[in-house]
Amino acid sequence: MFNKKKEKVQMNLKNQPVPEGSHLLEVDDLKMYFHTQDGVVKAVDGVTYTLDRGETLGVVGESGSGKSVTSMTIMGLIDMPPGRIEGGDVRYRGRSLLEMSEREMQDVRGNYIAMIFQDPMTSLNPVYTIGRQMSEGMMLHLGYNKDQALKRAIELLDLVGIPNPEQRVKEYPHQFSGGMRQRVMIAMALACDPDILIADEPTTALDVTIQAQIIELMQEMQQKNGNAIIMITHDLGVVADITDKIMVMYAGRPVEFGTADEIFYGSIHPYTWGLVRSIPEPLQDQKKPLTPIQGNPPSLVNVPSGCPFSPRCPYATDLCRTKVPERYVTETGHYSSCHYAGDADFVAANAPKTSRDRADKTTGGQN
Amino acid sequence: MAEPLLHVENLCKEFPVSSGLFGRKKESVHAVEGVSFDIYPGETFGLVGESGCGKSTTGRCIMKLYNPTSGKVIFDGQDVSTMSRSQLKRMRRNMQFIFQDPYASLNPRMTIGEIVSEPLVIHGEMTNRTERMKFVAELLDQVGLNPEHINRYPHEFSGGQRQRVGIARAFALRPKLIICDEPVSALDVSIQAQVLNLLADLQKEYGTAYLFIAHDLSVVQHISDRVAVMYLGHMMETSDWKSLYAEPCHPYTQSLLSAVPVPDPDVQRDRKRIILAGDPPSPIDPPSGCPFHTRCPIAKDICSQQVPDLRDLGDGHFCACHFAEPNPIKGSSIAL
Amino acid sequence: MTPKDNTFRPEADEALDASVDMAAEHNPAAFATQPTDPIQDDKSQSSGKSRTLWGDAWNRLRRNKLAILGAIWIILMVLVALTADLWVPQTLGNPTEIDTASMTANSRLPPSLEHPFGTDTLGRDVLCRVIYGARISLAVGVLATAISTLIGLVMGALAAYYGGIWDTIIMRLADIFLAFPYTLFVIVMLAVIGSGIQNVFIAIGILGWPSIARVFRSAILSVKENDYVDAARAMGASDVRIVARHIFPNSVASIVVYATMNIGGAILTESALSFLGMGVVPPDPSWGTMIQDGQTYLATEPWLMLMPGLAILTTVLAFTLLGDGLRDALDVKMKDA
Repeated sequence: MFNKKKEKVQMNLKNQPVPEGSHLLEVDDLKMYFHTQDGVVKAVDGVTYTLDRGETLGVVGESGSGKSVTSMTIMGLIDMPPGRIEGGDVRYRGRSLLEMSEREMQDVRGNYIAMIFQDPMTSLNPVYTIGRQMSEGMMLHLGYNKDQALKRAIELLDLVGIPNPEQRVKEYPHQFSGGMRQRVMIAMALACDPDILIADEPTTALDVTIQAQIIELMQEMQQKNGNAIIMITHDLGVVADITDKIMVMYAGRPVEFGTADEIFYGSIHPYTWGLVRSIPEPLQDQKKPLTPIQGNPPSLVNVPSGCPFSPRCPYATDLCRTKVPERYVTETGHYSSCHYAGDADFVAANAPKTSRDRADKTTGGQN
Repeated sequence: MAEPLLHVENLCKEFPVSSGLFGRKKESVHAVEGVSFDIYPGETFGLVGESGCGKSTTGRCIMKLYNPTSGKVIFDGQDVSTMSRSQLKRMRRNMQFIFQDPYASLNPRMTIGEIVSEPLVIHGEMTNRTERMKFVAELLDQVGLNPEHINRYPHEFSGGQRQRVGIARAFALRPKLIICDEPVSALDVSIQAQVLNLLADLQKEYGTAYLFIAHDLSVVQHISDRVAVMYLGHMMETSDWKSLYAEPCHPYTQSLLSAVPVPDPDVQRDRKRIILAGDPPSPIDPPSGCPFHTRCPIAKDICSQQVPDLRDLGDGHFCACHFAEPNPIKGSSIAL
Repeated sequence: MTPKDNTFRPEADEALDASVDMAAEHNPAAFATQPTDPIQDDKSQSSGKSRTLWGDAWNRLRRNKLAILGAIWIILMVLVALTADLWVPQTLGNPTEIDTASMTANSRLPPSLEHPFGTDTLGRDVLCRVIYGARISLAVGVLATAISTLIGLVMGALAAYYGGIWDTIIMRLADIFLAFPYTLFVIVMLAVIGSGIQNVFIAIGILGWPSIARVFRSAILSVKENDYVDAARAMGASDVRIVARHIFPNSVASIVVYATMNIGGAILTESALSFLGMGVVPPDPSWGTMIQDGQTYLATEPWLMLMPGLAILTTVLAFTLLGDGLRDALDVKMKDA
């Protein structure tokens, strides 16, 4: 505990420039398996992406797709065992997070990479005041004393739009509503001015009108601080709203990765198409039945052979059922784990029609 | 139109909350305040609103899982509130419920077959067990489950499959009305679409009416013929689905619709958004006048003094706002 | 937890008693919200026969080595205790009879082949007395627990179903019972009704109900909150059916677990009472009296105290381990499992 100050001087990664040729955060073929009684759960299986300051990455997937475990792994928050990293690397400003000691990781958590969780009701400790909980991180990471930290906490609460912050800072979590607690969580996460903010379903437990407030707040804060955001969600609407890049996950694997425009208007993976088709279409004259993805997500203990999506994919061939697809990467870095992603005719014939296709008749998309 | 199947008039429900050291100070949660609507045979009526708006309580009051504080519920020409136990039991034959949580709504110690056949057993239909199980197996097949799984237990199924079991149970007696309380909100998107399609197919086949309660506006829009929006126990606006979504008249409906993120970045970027400030007030101490006036962008003095009536704006479009006008923002970018 | 949405249930603010942590099964695979092996295909082939719930529970219990160890120990104890009359007098002698002729010669002999646990002051075989002591201890444990469970179930059920004034009266009564030091309460009761083995059953049994009532009441209240109970009501099911089919089967597991552990507790109480001279009256053998007799010789002949002490320790531990195992095994995988 006493040598904390010394180490702080020693490493202040946040102020160091990102090494030439690397990104702020690079996740490279990350694999995290859980060894359980029922077998090996391949919770994260080959996740790859990069992230720079000011960018927002959306991680989309259904429950059990490994989207949360990925970020927990990055933060070093997975219990090992049962978890084990089976391969890959996570580099933050060129330094591998997986090789860091627990002591170093404590500095990373909260200071360089901060996290917001889904449930604002359980992520705050009910026995401490909001001010005290907010101060903790600042005293630990920034070396503030109690008064400085409290003063900063009040500023932060004001910044995230909590009225009467001088009063509220002395109150306990149960005196705040769900939306207000999530604002407090954002304020806490931003207290140490982190490079990366990981938000794990931050609005899922909230109502739409409150969700809109929180998303706006996160965007506003990003513009001010220039931090990167990793937004984990199952809601394609939320992703469309704020992200620059999107990674779609299925059964622990990234099935498609690209810019928001590439995913929404030029997707080359049938799972992404299925997700888009599952959502009720915008206002239309006639009601049409939805086009769901058939079947159920696979158990991660027993992932189907070949392409994990093949049992539910309407276009699956024998090749899909036997061989795990290679990643097809376009020149812009857009990638898809589908055998037929490179087949322009296949994509054109089967991808769902988007609002751009409708507006721009020349593309002539079908379906 | 024909006689309504369900007529709800001025339904109110208060829950007493005792506070203070000895429970002396009596307060109450005003969960539902004066809600009225009709549901006709074979149609889907969507009830949408944020958490705590009283939509689920409304559904449970109609089912008489809660006793309404006041108001009238007339089902199939009979007043539910004055029914005797045996009448209530007969009524429940024709009115079933689908629950939100597919985990909590199935008894973990009963097999799928026992769960689905329970309504038949209770109402003394098909006393022959073999005949009953054959019927249940057909029903399971119809909701997309393998009939061979009839002797399995709920914990062996995924959320979507369990919700199908709940649907099969609700349809076992071929009821006239099913109250669906957030039936898809606990499910993943791809599974959600499967279940919505299933509900639509079964409705087509049996002509069942649905009261569809949900917080997800796009889901409600997809499945409903008519939609009502609730806020803090009050009904704010009701209309057929198309005019409600295309021409919302109430400022609350407008902001609600504008807050829903659209999965289309182009559209999302160009949309005009109304972001409401603050949180909904507590239903223990609701504001005077219009319940929405504390957050309303166009509130005036009258709004805090007088509760607006649900006014007819023509074409069956009703709105409880002092300043509502018919078709105020036609073709606006707010709509979904 | 799933979002509760707006289902107001103000009447159900009774939080689960801390004693019922049935649901707190810690699960390394909790990140996967799917069942570990969900049925994959909605329509296609089925994979063999169904797994029954009790079969599943047995499978889980079987994998818990400590619980099985406890169960084996308990079964062994029961068998030995039940069959004692058939073989113990022939091999180890009579547990109560004192052979005045050889008493001095046999007094406090150390453990040997002839007397594996040694002999006591009056020349009786200690193993023999431990075995006969097991009869009393097990009988007290089981019978006293049966009495408390019976009273506790009725009281807990009354409080949970009828609620209101019934709930208040019963639960406040339970609070009063629980507020007294338990052993002291039993001693006072024995002082009133007189000591002796039957009275020990009755005293421990009667005074043990409040904790069982609390556990059962909170189990019922939490089961009542489940949607399937509402679903049954919505179907038009009668109260009797709801209780018999839905509430009881889902709340009884906690009682099985609690009662198992309670047996160990009752055995401890009986030993303590006998140690204090309030329970079993000599010359009848009881682990408590044996410890009491042996404590004088702790420095010189430790086995006199050690052997019955070990018997208490292993038996109580066995019941606790079995109870723990049962708790994990009976917990139906409802969520996040």
